[in-house]
Amino acid sequence: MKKEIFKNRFDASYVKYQHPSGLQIFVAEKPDFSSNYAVFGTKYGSIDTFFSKDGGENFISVPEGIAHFLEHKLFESEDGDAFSRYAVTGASANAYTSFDRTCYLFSCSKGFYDNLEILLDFVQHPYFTEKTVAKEQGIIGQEIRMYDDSPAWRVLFNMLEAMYTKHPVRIDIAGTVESISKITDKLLYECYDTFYNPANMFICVAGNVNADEVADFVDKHLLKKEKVQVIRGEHKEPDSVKSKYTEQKLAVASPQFCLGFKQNCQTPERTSEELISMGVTLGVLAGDCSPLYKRLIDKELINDEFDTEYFTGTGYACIIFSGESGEPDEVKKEILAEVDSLLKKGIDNDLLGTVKRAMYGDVVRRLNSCEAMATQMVDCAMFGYDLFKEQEIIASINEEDVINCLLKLKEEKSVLSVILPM
Amino acid sequence: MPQKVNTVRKGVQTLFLPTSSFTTTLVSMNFYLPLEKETIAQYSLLSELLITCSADYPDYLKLNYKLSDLYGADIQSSVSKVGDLLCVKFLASSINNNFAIGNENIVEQSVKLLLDLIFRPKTVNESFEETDIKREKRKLIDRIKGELNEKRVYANNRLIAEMFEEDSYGAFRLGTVETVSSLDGKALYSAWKKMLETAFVRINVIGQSQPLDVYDRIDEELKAYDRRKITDITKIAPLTKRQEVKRVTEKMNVSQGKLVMGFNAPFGSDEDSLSATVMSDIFGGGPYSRLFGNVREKMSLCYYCRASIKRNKGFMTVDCGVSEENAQKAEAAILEQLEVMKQGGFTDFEFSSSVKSLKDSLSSYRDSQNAMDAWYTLKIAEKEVYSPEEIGEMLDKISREDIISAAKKCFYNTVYMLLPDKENG
Repeated sequence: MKKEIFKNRFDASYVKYQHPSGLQIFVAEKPDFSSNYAVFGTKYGSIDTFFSKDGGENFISVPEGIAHFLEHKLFESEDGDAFSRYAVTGASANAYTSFDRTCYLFSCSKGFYDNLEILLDFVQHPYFTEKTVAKEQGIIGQEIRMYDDSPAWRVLFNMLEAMYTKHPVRIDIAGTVESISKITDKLLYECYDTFYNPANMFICVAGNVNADEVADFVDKHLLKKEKVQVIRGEHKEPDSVKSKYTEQKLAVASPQFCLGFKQNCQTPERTSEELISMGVTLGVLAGDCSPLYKRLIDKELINDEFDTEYFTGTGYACIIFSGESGEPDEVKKEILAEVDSLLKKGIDNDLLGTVKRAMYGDVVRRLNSCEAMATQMVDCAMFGYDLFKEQEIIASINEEDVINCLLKLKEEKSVLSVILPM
Repeated sequence: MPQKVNTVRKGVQTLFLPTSSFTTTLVSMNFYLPLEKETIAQYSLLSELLITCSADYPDYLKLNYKLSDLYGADIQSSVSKVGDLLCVKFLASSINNNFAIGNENIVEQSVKLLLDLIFRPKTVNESFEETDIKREKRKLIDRIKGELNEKRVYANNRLIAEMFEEDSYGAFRLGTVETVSSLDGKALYSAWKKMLETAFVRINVIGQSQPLDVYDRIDEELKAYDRRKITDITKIAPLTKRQEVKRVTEKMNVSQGKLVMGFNAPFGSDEDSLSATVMSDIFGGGPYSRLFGNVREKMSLCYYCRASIKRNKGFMTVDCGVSEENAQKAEAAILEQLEVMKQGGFTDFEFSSSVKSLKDSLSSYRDSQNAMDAWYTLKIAEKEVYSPEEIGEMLDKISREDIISAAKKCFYNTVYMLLPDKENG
């Protein structure tokens, strides 16, 4: 196994192993901690609805929400479910599906290898039948309804639906009650055999462990499988947005908004430099030290719910401003006016320095938690990032980088999504 | 981990948890006051006001700038109910000095800033300023109204309000729109003074070392106040029993219904009632629990169905998201599972799984500064303060009979249902 060690100037480190099967293993040793956090994941999420597993000869289309459905079902085996096996060890286990990944995880303070064995075992042994699929449709149906009532969820998905014409980031992660009704055990196996191949997967562990021991253990418990070459179908997404405004009424107290700016993706993934530059830019433009933030608060246009995000994944990227406001249109106007003004007047270098210091502090803070370390290593596995380059990159960001990011905020590429009270 | 609560003087406790695991230091100052419907809004608004400006930082933007310059030091405040007490918490968390680029004294500066915010607020003629109050009132009122947005949280809060209709515990922890709106600068100034004069104070420090003689500094600050009448932290009354179950149904334009049930439950110290925590966990804690296994997995009635217990106020709740047609079926199934608990019908597997799971999560408290701070914030009225690890050891002594006996002390009290409004939906 190829082994690579990453270290930073604070003596923190993590190790990357490249298994011959294609599986990536990341381990961060945290000897001062009593607990461990492990993730076994696949680069497979809600956006993977159109793909080929034979090198591009045949493409198949699967129902929306199937990755999430598969996640629920993978916990089951012929003789019980993984939760009852974890119950014997006392670990706390969970799983999640997002747009571009599905991750199975546990945290524990005792019996790490017993838990890792359970994780490796159930994720590698699917068991789907017609009957168990039908049972899950009821439970997931309730989960979908729960999200239908969540304004934070709806305001984001309405925005994505209005922004994207083709890219499946526009569909809800869990699908719809209708789409999941088309899921069968056969389709689940088809997706499993395509995406749950070591070449498409990763294991990330942070905690009181020895990295080489973890890698050896994984090696011993990994089933031998032929490498699968997954080709994801391309979605010819237009540069323009589908619609610039969308609204929905829900039982909320005050209007919620999500303002997104679509970014054209020349390459499928964002680099660390792009992510960090945009993070700094959003701090300078609308962070809580910015003149814009003060203006929005003083004019009573936003409250503490206001937030910004660079929302990215395979083949999609958009810059998001969200929060609660009685006048979302005014918020949008103020943001665009501030972008114009910064482009004309230039960037306040004191503010840029302050934003960078706070980001540096965040990087140090994240070393505090096994969960944060493991989650960041998942990003390393997904996109090839080097965690410890972050500090250097933050230090290197200058006015020109910020200007380049600001140029991506164009009115014609914006979508304003609003949830209004009934 | 060694830990000891020290009493510096009457009404002032300190707790230092030394640890080298973290890159940050956390200091929290906790002011415990009587939980009263009439004053909850004052302290809720005051806690927000104090951390947004001070005599030295009259403008919140300048304060935010300072915090970012301290490598994104985090200063937060919150109000929470701890039994019959209201805890007003002020917390500072900053990176340790050795991580600062020029080895600056970041921890000391952050703690000093926190002390200045609490003890030297921006006031004029014994009153807070109108512009600051107006700004913070608006944000707080938005938060209070925003409680409606997440229906699971809303439904849980509604159950608490209905179940404790005669008790201050039923009041929403942030206050109401009306009570917050009615506050002025003078009232807030009085509340601030009253907090410093009468609160039982606990300072928690979790980090490598104790910064800036923080305990002496706070003790020195408090000496300026008349602290003869300190809040009695021991007076707590549990949820009272009801002759008949109180039933409340609300209709709203929602897609999924919510069912939240409240029960009287064992009350008291860790020595007296720890078995109730295990009982509640077997009943509706992790995926090995009776509710998960039966109501979710076997009956497919809901996505979540969980029990949680508050031993410092003597009640347990169960909440789940269900469709309207299944709500009654789910309620009956939940009550049936509680009956199973009372009859000792839970399996040895469920029992041992619960103990293992609770012990495992108790052992991981020491890996999070915020979790440790939250743990010790709740441990205020108890004579003996146990660490999570000590509680973990105590769990081994709990027997099946203890669990059955704890379950038998649970009585159905109140049910709240939020159902879709089909007529107006």
